[in-house]
Amino acid sequence: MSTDSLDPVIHAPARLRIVATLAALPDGDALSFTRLQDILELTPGNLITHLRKLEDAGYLSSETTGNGRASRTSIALTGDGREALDAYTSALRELLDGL
Amino acid sequence: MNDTQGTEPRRGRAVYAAVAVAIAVSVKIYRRATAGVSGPSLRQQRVEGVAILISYLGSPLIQGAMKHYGASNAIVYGVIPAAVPLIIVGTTVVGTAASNGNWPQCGAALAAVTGGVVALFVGPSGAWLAAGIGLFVAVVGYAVATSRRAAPIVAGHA
Repeated sequence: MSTDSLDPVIHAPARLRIVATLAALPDGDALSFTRLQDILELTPGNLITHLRKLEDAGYLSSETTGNGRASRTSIALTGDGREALDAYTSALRELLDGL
Repeated sequence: MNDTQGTEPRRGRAVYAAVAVAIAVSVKIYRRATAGVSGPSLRQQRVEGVAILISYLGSPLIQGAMKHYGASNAIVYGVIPAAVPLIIVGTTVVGTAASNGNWPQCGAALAAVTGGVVALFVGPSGAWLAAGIGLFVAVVGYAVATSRRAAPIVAGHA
């Protein structure tokens, strides 16, 4: 078992925290961008960058409702994202078992 | 006898005040925990919350009926407030938890119901002890089950 088996998209600390936070929600539920930012204490720009990478990988979906100042963006983990996190934690567990 | 009749209603009012404070604190914590969350499970939880609140009304209704038909203060203010909420609210939670497949919550609610049933038959003082033990088992059991479910990596190395 090597570190190559760890999904590089999830492996970055900030993205791992994002995915782990969203995985705590039941299937189908979403978290608002501002709440996610509060929990993770990331700057908006930093959070957007990581969210975009996760969304490009198909691990997240986002939905924006409303316009202007009243707009609200909700982010949810997709089925692929949940599977990727499960695979990541399994790989990490196997890696740690070898210590 | 007169002393008992004088203190039991006061104890009952203190219980209701404590329950009101507990509900207010619970609502505040729940709102804080679910801030920014949206989706089907949250809507379902709200419906379940309303069902639980409505079921809680059963206790004062039964108290009122028993008082009306001449039951003693020891029963109306000693046994019923300790036992009936656990039974009525507990069975409601058993139903909602079972329908969601949430077996830890279902087990915890069953423990609370059991405490309530025992409380019915052990007298005014024992009722609160039985209710307290039932709630203790329910809350601690649910907390243990939840913590094990929430930390799979730690559990894997335990």
